[in-house]
Amino acid sequence: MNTLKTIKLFALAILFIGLNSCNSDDEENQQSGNLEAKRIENFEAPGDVMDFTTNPPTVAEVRPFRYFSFSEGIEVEETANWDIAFKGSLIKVNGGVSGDAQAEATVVTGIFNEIDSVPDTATFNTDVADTDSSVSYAIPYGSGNGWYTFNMDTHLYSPIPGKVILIKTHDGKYAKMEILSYYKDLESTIVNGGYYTFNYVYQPDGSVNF
Amino acid sequence: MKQYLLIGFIFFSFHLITSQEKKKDTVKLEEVIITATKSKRQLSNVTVPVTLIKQKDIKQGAALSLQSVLGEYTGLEISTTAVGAGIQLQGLESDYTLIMIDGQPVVGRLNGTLDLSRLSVENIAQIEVINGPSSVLYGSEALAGVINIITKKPKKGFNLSIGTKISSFDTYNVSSTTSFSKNKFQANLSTNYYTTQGYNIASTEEGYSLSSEYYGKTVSPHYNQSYNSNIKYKLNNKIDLGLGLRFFKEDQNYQFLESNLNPIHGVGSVSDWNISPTINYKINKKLKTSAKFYFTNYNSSTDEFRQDNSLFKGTFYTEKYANLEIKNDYNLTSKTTLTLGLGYAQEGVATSNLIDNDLHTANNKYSFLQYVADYNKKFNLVLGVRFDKHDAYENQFNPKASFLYRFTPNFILKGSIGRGFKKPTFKQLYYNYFSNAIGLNVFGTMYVQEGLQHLLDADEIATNIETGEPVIYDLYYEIIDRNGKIEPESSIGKNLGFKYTAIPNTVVDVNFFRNDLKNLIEFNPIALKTNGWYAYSSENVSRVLSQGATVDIKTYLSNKIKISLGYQYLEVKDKDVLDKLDGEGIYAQNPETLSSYRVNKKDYGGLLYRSKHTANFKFIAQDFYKGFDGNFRIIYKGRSGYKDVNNNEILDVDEEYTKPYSLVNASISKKLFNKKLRIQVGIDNVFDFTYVTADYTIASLPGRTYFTTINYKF
Repeated sequence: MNTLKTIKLFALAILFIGLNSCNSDDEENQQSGNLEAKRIENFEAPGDVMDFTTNPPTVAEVRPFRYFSFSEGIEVEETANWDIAFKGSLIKVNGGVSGDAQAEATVVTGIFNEIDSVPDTATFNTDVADTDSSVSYAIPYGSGNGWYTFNMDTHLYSPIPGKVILIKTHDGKYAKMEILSYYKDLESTIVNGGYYTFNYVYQPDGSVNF
Repeated sequence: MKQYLLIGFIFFSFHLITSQEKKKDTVKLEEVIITATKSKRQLSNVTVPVTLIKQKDIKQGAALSLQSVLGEYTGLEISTTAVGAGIQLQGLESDYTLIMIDGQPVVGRLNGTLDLSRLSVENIAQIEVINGPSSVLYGSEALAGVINIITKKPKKGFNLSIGTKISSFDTYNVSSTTSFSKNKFQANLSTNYYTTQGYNIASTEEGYSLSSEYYGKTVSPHYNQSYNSNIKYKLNNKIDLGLGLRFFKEDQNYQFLESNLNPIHGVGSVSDWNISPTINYKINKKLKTSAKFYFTNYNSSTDEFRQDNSLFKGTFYTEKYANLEIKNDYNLTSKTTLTLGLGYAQEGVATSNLIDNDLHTANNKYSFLQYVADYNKKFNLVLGVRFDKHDAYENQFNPKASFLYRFTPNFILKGSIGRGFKKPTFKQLYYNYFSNAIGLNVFGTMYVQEGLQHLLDADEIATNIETGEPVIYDLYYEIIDRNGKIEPESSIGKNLGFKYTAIPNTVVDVNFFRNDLKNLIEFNPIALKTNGWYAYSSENVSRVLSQGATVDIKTYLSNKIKISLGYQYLEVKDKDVLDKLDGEGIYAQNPETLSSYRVNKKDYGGLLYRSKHTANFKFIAQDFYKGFDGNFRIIYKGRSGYKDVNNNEILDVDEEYTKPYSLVNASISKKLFNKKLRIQVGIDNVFDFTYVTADYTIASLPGRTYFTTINYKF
């Protein structure tokens, strides 16, 4: 079984080397299974400032969403071709009720490095209006629902280990990402909140392989 | 490393003993227990695993607290959880063990745990612990087992003994037992007075130690008194009457700081009393019948005041329990007995956090049938079944079967299988709690509808912006569909063990156990509040397994010196976590690389507050030198989990465990004046061990404690 797998992989590798040699002026890291994971550190996207003295709590200061493009690998303007956007612990995708493009996402369980392709079983969603809450986000919002848990005692957000977010970008390419920390310089204190550190791999060739 | 040395030493000791092989000269008293079958039975014929703690065993340690007495025995572990300390049996928390005095339940559990300091050690004749489900005879709570405290019974003639104990932290205890008999009448009275200044465990800058720098005490000063009496009257050859009485009262003064650092002083009071008349009637040689009535009333209250004597907070808790049980024993043959029991119990609770201040009551009718067969000297069999009908939960049917088989006089095999259950608590059914500090609500299942309605009326439930509907979860509707009823928690327990007299005077007792629990009740959200918190109620969710083995080796080095070694291996795991580990996996974050890895199933450490390895070693010498008795005991507790540090909600990394530790206790005593006077001095926790860290403290360990006891028998 294992041997068969190895042979398959080997054959696949040869095939891709062959393909690659035909398009030698392509960008680096395009080979499937060979894409480099990149890390974004301290991506600043704090949530709204809340006033808890009122009941229900009210928004004291509205903060903007911060937009990210996987193909560019940097923060972009809302007007640009963004893929996902962060504000506080909420992440929305450029699709459905959140954006004009067709971006979608799903959260799967597994090891980031071991997910070498989008599994057949993965069901992508976009952000849609829902009956349960105002919006049903593709990357579910709320403690324990998506990528994080919120501790009621410490009031800290922690990424759930083993949660990998798969994204179909605004133009139908695939990316995978794993959020590592919600705090500036990885120091988990309340004042440092709203600074994302995450790993991602972007597959520009449109295939499902990473 | 120390532990290995210790174990090495112990085995070396055994080697010495086995090579010496003393002749059989120890007197074998026939030990009798009552808890296993609800009738007196020789311990050697009992088919279920039993721990028997006799009065002289308690005296050796001179412990004042029942908890510390129990904690020195294999399989009985003191565990310190977030809500207090209790006795674990077969790895299950203290609320799964029924605690009784003379076969009648002790009521008044706070957060599921009985404060064992309410029960004076002075009055105890022996403690019988049955391991494994015993709901077949005792109903709810006897899921992990039962602890039955047998009080002293009147003796012939007139007896009076008085005793006193003085120990560290200004702790004093004075007790007396009077026993009196005349013709057909027998009575006794035990009194006990106890006072302590308490102690404080707190962190200091240099480290952690006992300290008075911090406001309030870990254990506050308290004072208690208890009175116990047993009266017997033999009407004629066939009928005897009995009456048990008990009264206990405790007062406590305590201090703490309010969240804004204002000092608060509190007065706490606890009292309980009970009465239990019995009648035994021997109808003929084959048939005996008995009727027992029991009523107990428990009250506790706290009143907390600010410095200006304005009321900060007041709480109260009242529990009443009444039970009438009629039991008939019929000898089918000379070797087999059939027992039929019928009972009716009424229980009631009123407390400050229930729906209202009224007493919530429930009725429980039950019947049990037991068949005991002592076929021959080799084989004993006990079969039983109990049926419980209760207002608040579905009917319960609890069978149990157990056997004992003597392959040779030196090798005895014992096995049992049975079902146990624990009813939903009044809190789970009728709670109405609101946390001022956080803003969450908790409702008992019987109150869910009303409780939620109040929140809806007050506009405290979050609204779905899209639909305009309140955010209410499925659990709410499930509870409503069931009319607020929840299933009792239940378990199937199996025990298999043997007793092997390896060489004369050396007995090896081994028991393997496994408990499969289901329908464990947890609090889960029923609705989202506008303040971002949830309203909670109870549901039957989790499944747990507990399994392990206990080994006890006892040996008489001579008729004066006894050595024993006990060990328990324990695993207590959440079955849903195990399924998840096998399935989609549970992951953890590597603190260095921040990347996730899949938790290996063998790294899953199970439920919090359980030690995989625990052990005890006892060295007991009687009259070893000029009438002196002495002993030392070592209690070892392996590491146990107490928190989750890596955000996967399971125990899986070393940082989530306490360190292992050992306690050493020792005492020496001598009898004087014709053995009428007994003087004892001792040290508990010789090496002054305390466990105090920023996020876990064992409050029951104040460090080294010196004590002196003096007893006089007239």
